[in-house]
This record gives sequence, C-alpha cells and structure tokens, in this order.
Amino acid sequence: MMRMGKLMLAAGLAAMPTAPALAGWKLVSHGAEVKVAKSALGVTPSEDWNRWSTRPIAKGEVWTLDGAGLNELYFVSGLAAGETLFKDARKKDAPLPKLPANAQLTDIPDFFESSERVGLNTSAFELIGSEPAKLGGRSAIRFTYRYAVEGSALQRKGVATATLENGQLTLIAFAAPETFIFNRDAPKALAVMNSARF
Amino acid sequence: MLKTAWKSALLGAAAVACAISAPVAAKGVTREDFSFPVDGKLRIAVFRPDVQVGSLRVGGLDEANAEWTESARTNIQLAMENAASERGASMTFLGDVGGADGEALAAYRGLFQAVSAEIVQHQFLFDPLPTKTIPAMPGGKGKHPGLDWTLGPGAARLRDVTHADYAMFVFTHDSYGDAGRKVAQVVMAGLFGVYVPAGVHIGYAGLVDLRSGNIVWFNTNFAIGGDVREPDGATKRVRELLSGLPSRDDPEGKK
Amino acid sequence: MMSVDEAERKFRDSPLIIRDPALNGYVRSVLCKLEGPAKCAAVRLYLVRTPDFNANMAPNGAMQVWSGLLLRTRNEAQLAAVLGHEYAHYEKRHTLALYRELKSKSASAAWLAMTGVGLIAAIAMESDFFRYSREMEREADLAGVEAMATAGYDTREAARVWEQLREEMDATAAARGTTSRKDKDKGLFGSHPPSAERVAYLIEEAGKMPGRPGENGLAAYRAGLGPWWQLFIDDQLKRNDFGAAEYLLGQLAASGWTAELLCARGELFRRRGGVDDLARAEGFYAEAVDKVAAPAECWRGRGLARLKLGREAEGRADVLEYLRRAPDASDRAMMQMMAGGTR
Repeated sequence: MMRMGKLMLAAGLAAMPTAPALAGWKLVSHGAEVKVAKSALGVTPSEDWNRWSTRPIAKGEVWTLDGAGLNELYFVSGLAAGETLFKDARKKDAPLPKLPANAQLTDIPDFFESSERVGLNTSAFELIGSEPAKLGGRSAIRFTYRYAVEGSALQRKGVATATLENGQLTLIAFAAPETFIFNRDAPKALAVMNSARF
Repeated sequence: MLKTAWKSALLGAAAVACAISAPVAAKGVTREDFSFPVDGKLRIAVFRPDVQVGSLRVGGLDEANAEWTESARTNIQLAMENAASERGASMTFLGDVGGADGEALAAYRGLFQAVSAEIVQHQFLFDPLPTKTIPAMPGGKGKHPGLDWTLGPGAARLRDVTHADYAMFVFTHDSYGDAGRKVAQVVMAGLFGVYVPAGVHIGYAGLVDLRSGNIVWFNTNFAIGGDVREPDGATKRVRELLSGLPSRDDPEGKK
Repeated sequence: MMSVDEAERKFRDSPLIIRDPALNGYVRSVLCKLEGPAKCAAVRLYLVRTPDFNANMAPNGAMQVWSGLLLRTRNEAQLAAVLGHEYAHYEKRHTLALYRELKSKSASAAWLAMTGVGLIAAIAMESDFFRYSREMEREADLAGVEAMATAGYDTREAARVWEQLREEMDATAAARGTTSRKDKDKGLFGSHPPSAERVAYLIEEAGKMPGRPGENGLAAYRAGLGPWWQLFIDDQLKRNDFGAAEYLLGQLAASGWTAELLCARGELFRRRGGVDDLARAEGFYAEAVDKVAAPAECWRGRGLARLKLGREAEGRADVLEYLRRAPDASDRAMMQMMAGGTR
C-alpha cells in the first residue's frame, strides 16, 4: 500500500499517537540562494522545490518535488561526532550508529549505509560506487546506492555527496524510485549539490 | 513500531480528513486538460484490485472472513465491468503475469502505490505541495492543488503487455470489527474527542494514461460507502470510488 | 484462509525474498529429511533477507525462514530443530488456534500485519501475532526433537539454539552497557522466548531421545549456505550491534578463524573506530592477509586503519595492494585518492 519517506515516518512516530504527520511544505524558489539546515550551507536550486517545515533532526532538512516517497533530498549540515544521521526513534531496540570521532570521507558511505539499514529496517541496501567530489569547494565523496524496503516491490536508487570539516559532517542525499523517477530527477538534485557554498 | 505506527498515523489522518471535510474526498480529481479521445475503443486494463475485508473481529480470523474477501473481490470486479460499459469503455482484469512482463508490472504497481501515497497526502489530506498548487478554475476561489503526477513514458511497456490504453488501479480496505475502530478511536479521541463510527472503510482508485504514464484521474475516500460483501453494496462502492471519472459524453465527470 | 493468501501474494514480490534455487533447495532438503517428501513438498518456503532470528509458518502452509536465523543456527541439526518446531506448530494447527483466540488486545496488531504492509516488521515488532502459549511452544519443541531424532540428528543441538540466543543477548547488552533482555519475553525473540526453562526441558528431552549423537551436519550446513554465508555476516556487521556481531563471529570461528572471518572482525572494530579498536582491527587484518586466498578487502581495511593510526606509508601501500588485487573495485577513484596517487 502506501508509504511515506523515511524521515516523515520517523517524525510521524515521534508525534504519535496524538497527531498525524501533516506539517506543511514551503516553496523554495529556483535561481536564488537559500541557506539550508539552519547553517551556513547555501544552495541555489535550478527549479522550484518544496521544503518540509518540520526538521527531521535539528541539523537536517528535507526537500521534495512530488512527495518524499518519490523524490527526497535530505540535507544534514554540521553533524558532530556522536550524533545520528536520522532521529534515533528506536534507540532501545535498534539504535542508529553515531558519527565516529575520527571519521574520514571514506567512512561516510559505511556510516550512511548502516544508518539506512537500521532506520529502514532492511538488508536490501547496496553501495554501488564512490568517487572523489567537491561540496562547496571542499573535498568531498560522492556515492551511489540502491535499496528496497520490505512490503513494497519498489527499488529505490540514491546519490549523496558528503564532506567533513573539523570532524563535522555535511551531507546532501537524494533518493527516488529506480523506475523512471530517479533518472528524471537526479540531475536536479545534483544541480543542488553542485551549487553548494559554505 | 516504525511501520505499524506510521500506518496508524495514516489511518488517523484519514479519520481526521473525513471528519473535518468529507466532501473533498467525494469526487475524484482529474488532470488538467485531460479528456478521453473521441473515437476508437476505450480499453482499460485493471490491475488485480487490492481488496481486503475486515479479517478480524472479536472471535478472530475465520473462514467466514475469507469468504468476505473472496466475494468482495468478485462483486467489485463485476461492478467495475458494469460501470465501465456504462461509460462506453471495456475493462480487462489482469491475471497473474510471469517472466519479465510480470516484473515490469510489479515495478509499476509499486511505483503507482508510491505515487498514490503522495497524491493522498498532498492532494486530499490538506498537506499541499506549493509547487503543485495551480490557479483555480474561473469562478473558483483561491488556489487548488492540481493533479500532476506521472509514472513516466516507460509505462508504455504496460501498454504492450496489456494491449490497453489506460490502466486502472483499485484499492479498498474494510474492517468491520473492533480492530479498525480501535485505531481510529484512539486517534480521534486523543485529538478532538470525536466519536468515530465503527470500522475503517477506505479506498482509492487511479487511472493511468499508458502513452504518457500520467495519472489522469484519482479518487480516494476515507469513509466510503457500500458493503462490498454484497453485490449491491459493491455496486455502491464502485460508484463512489469511480465518482468523477470522466467519460466521453461527460468529460468533466459531473455525473 | 483467504487473507493469509492475500498477504502471501504481496509478500511473494518482495525484493527481500531470496530466490536462489540452491539455498532454497538446501533448506527444503532439511525440512524433507524431517517430515518426509510428501509433507515437505506441500510447504511453500520463503527465505527472507532480514537479519533477525525468526521463522514462522502460516496456516495456509507458507513458511518463512529469515536469513538472520540461518546465520545463527550453527549446523544442520540446529536448523532442523527450528524447522521441526515450526512445522509442528503448523501440523498441530496452533497458528489457526491463535487466529481464533486473538482478542481485542492484540487484534489491531494482527490486523496491521495482515494488510501485508510491513508484514516482516509487523511480526518483528508486534510479535503478539505469533505468540504461542507456553504449552504450544513446549509441544512444538518436543515434536521438533522427535523429528530430529527420527531423522538421525544429534538432538542436543536443539537446546544449543536457545542457549546461543541467550548468550548473544548478553553480548549485545554488555557492549551497549544495558541489561540483557534474555529473560524478557518481548522484543525480537518475543514469538519464541529463549527462556532458561525451555533450554532445561530441551536438554532433558534430548537425554530421552538422543537421535544420533555427534551427527550435527556441520559440513553439509557450511556447503548448503555457500556464498550466502559472507553476505549474511555482512548484513549483521552493518546493524550497529557490536556485541552481537562479535559474539556471532566468535561462534562462527569455533572451528578456526578463516581469512573471511578475520577480515570481518577487522571491519567490525575499524568501524567502531576508537584508537584501541583501530589497533586491534589492524591485528585481525594482518592475520587475515597471511592466509591463503584472503579477500582483497582485507588490504583495504588494514590500509584505512593504518592511515587513521597515522602510519601513512604503510597505509598507502595497503590501499595500493587492494587496488592491485581488485582493479575493478567500485570505490577505485576514492581509494586512489587515499593512496595519494592518481594513476
């Protein structure tokens, strides 16, 4: 049946049982620089996006084009050692990994993969590849991945770019169904990543 | 808890939606400028309807409920075939398809389900996406969100497999027992102290143009009528689900 | 049982179902040894790639076995103990009785599970659904032991399954600094609590029906799991459960540390990433690369660990060795950067 983006899901969980996860979306206009994730990170999108007005974590932000289950752009800026990539909603039974203190760029795909596997409760997650990149002028790693969650026949694909400064992680990740949507929207997401400035 | 809690949240949201604004969900939404072509045969392939009928009551799951689901599936199929012929279209119900075609169907079914979730949330549940808000029709008030979702041109693959021009997806979920009532009641009582009638009766239906992959029409209803266990009830259910579906002699779906 | 069939229909298309005919054939062959060809042929078997310990059988004859279980049963006899147990629940129609007995308390959980959305999650999280009574569990356990004995397995292995689970829960708790949940009948093992009582009566029963002592089918099990072994270990390493992973690696290495297991242990420590962890990781990788046919990833791991320890030259050399051994690695460009070269 239906399912929401994982970040909304976590937020819905936090709000349960008293309120459904309907929080509202704000327009992000193309062509103008916007600061994201309450940080110095600025990006200039090449088209209009929708920004979720709820923060999935204090240092995170979610954008989408058609709904987070179809195209989800996740920003995390300044994540410090010991913090988790998503809300640690099942801390007791399935705690999320914490960003290690001495992380290097090559550790980020592993950290991301483990966070996704635990957060989405799936083993169907595969890193496809990684390469050096730039994010806001800093040395970065760009990696691609594929995953599926139980209960849906849908395969999703993702691409993320991440950089570390003083041990703090800044990451922009895009995920979408592999059928049609990923190929249509990944260039728009990459344009956002490539426009990043600190 | 992750997914089950989410599901409860969705049902809660559904209950809220139907409590505060049932009329919104009464008729489907049509993609701007869509109409069926004026000539040629209208062929609609229907994906195996996702039908579930209250498998749990106090006393548990038993053979009687299995019969409900089975008869509901038969009733709904019959009612849909009738509804289609009234509209001058033919509906073919897809059986199990194997091999590469089967995988393609499963992939698009998955994609349609993901799209449906977004349409329900952003089009029907008062959580609009600003990029999808278009100016209202002349005479309308303010803005209303437009139906603007697509499965992409690759959906033409389904056209080759089904030999149809359109694909319809149908989902109905009924729970007549304590189970559904309990979920809705907890949420509604917590939020508004509102009484919730027994059971959960939700459904959605969507029509996809297999040339473009565009979702051309979609309807959902969180307090849908008709007891699908009976042929008459299924007819009522299908009428409500397909409410607002355009046809050739009624391009705006007013009937 | 139409509703169960509907759930199964959705489940069938799940990307988490392992379709490999060899692995499916092996698990089924164990079931066939226990129950005979006719009964076994009627079972629709689904292997699910999910790293928790679980198996169940619905009243319509659909049996699920999770990959986390295959990683945790040490040998064929232990797998047989679990399969025999689940089949007994089915044959004695416990599951059907369970459906009938569900009252409003757990009805919503079961209802959610039956929608087929998140069937695995719903079962894992809301294990009320498959929570058998103590009497049913005991009955299934004893039937399982009997089937094992008849098929010629060492029945002492049945109790070992649950002892191992208890030890693993202790290990998870110790690494997290929490209290072991082995005696709580909630959580992931909720449908089959690994209680001390269960271990005790299984040991007693094995005394009465020993089967063939020493016949545990270890070699057959290793061969049957084949290449999946490594994948299941990898799934476990990425779960962020250090204690359980370290415990399981130790168990798997009971008959000796292979290069793969040493390398996996290196990964586990390297990813936790403390300074002591890195030094220990380097040691495990070093042992691994000394063995014949060590995977190229062992050099990668050691190189990255050494770079973090400030041993630049050695680290770079290891990374280059990794690239030499795995020229088509998907992280080649990134590793070339780490090695400080652009070749």
